[in-house]
Amino acid sequence: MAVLKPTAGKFSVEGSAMSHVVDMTLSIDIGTGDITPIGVSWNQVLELQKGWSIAVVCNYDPTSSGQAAAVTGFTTGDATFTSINFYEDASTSLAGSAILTSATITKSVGSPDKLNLSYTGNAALARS
Amino acid sequence: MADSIRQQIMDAVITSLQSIKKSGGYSSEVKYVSESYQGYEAVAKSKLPACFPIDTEERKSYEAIGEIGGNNMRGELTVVVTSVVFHPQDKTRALRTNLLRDVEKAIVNGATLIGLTHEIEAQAVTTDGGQIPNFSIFDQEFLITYFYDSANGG
Repeated sequence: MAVLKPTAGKFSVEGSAMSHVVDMTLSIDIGTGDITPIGVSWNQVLELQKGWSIAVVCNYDPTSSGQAAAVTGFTTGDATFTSINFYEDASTSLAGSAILTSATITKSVGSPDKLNLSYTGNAALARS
Repeated sequence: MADSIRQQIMDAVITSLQSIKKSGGYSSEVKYVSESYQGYEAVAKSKLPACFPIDTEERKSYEAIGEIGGNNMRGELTVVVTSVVFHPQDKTRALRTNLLRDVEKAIVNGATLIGLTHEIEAQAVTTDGGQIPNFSIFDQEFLITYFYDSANGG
């Protein structure tokens, strides 16, 4: 069975795997333009640009170089990353250039501290 | 190969309980710590107060995607400490309440335990309900959460 599983896969930024990732979501959306004329019952749309984004949740570990790079990028450095890879398994990934658009650190009783990161693609997403 | 983390946790629990002495800032003077509890009647009164820790059920789950970082598994181990106190007259309640506090203090603040674990939570206290004159027997339950690498086991 070729169904993929979370024990394989990883998220990497500029070639460095991010550690302690507990959840990651890649979303691709396609913009549409409404071209429905008057007098028809069903909407008609025109395909516009594609976009993609990645949301990553980690158990927060400031000593993790991948996590630290993201936090540094957002606070004092460049928030644009040229190589973002969402690995489905050990070798296949969806990759592109993206901007880190948010970083949230959460402390909550009963849970490890969490680091939530959101990236928005600013170029094509390629699967390889 | 190094001891399992579960083994190291229990070693640290025993060390923490053995440290319960008035000279160490506690209210109680624990005289005996053992993992073998065979009933309060089997313990000589000269060994009381006594504590009997045991590692019980454990839940395990994945904690990270992939196999990176070395902490891709979570273990949630329940440790129960059964304690026995005795006073021939009217101090049983004081001995019980003091030791309840001291056991929790020793486990939750044990430096070695903290180093091994992610979180130590005191969860429940169960007593004998005053069924045995002059004795008090009670269980304290702790949920100990730790992370480990699936390649090594917990």
